[in-house]
Amino acid sequence: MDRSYLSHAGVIAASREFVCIRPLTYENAVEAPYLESLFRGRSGNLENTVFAMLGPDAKTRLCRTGRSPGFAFQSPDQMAAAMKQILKQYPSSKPMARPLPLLPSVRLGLNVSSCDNTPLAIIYSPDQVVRTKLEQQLARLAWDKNHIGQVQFCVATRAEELKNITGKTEKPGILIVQPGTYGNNGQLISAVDLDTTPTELSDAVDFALLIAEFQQKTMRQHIVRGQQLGVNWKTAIPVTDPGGSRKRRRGN
Amino acid sequence: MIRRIVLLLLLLALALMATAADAADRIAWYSTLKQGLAVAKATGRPILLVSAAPHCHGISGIW
Repeated sequence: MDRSYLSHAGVIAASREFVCIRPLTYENAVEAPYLESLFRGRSGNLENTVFAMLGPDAKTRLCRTGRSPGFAFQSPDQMAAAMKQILKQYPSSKPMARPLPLLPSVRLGLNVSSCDNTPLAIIYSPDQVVRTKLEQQLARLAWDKNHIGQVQFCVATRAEELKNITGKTEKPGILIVQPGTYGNNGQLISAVDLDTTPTELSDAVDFALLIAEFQQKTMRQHIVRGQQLGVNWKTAIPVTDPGGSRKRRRGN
Repeated sequence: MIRRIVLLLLLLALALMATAADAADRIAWYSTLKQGLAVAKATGRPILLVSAAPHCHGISGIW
């Protein structure tokens, strides 16, 4: 995928008025058929990436769907202009009620935050009431102008879910974690208590963001080193992208 | 020694400023269809959807 589209200032600005969804391909058997209905590659199967712009009903197609934005637009500028045009069809009449965007598990949270090179904030408590309170607190931070899109979030209800995080605490609260290079583990940066102030929470997240600034990856080096280390990510459902699996790539 | 400390503090301040400046630089994604589609339905906003696999050739930690 050409990431230049999704890091384009005009696209990001317009995205603030869209609901942006990035499903994790091959990580949810229920989502896969819907993604396939939007786009199948030449193989006829679900490929690593799917791109679409849709109406709020999730059915109305607002542009050509494909594997990436490049299927629909010749340039990021053109995509940004198209998004602005689309927004004219959907004038904003009421403020968006935006819940905390949650990844489905700590395992996926670590991996996605590693992919994005962002900190991961884990809401940890066995108590649903406490988790809801923490979610609401984090939602305010997640959508404020200084942190929007900068942090990943997930929930843990049991201590076992934190087994791959070093320096973890058993105390309920918000755990700010720096993901490992391959997203299969993480390091606790700070543990924020239940009665923390929004400023203290923001400071803890900002410190983790500062650490993340120093993490850089080069795709080729990352893959070669990962293969040497025996990294092997297990997906929830089989990878059907013709170029996506290690087995096929090696021609076995 | 003092000069080094000042330089270090300056670098730290610049890094913090860079973090703040970068804050608006990313799209904020919902990671599940269930959550994202519910928000779209409730708010009447259009959807930008980009699915991605959080691994490359079986190596996690990279899109």
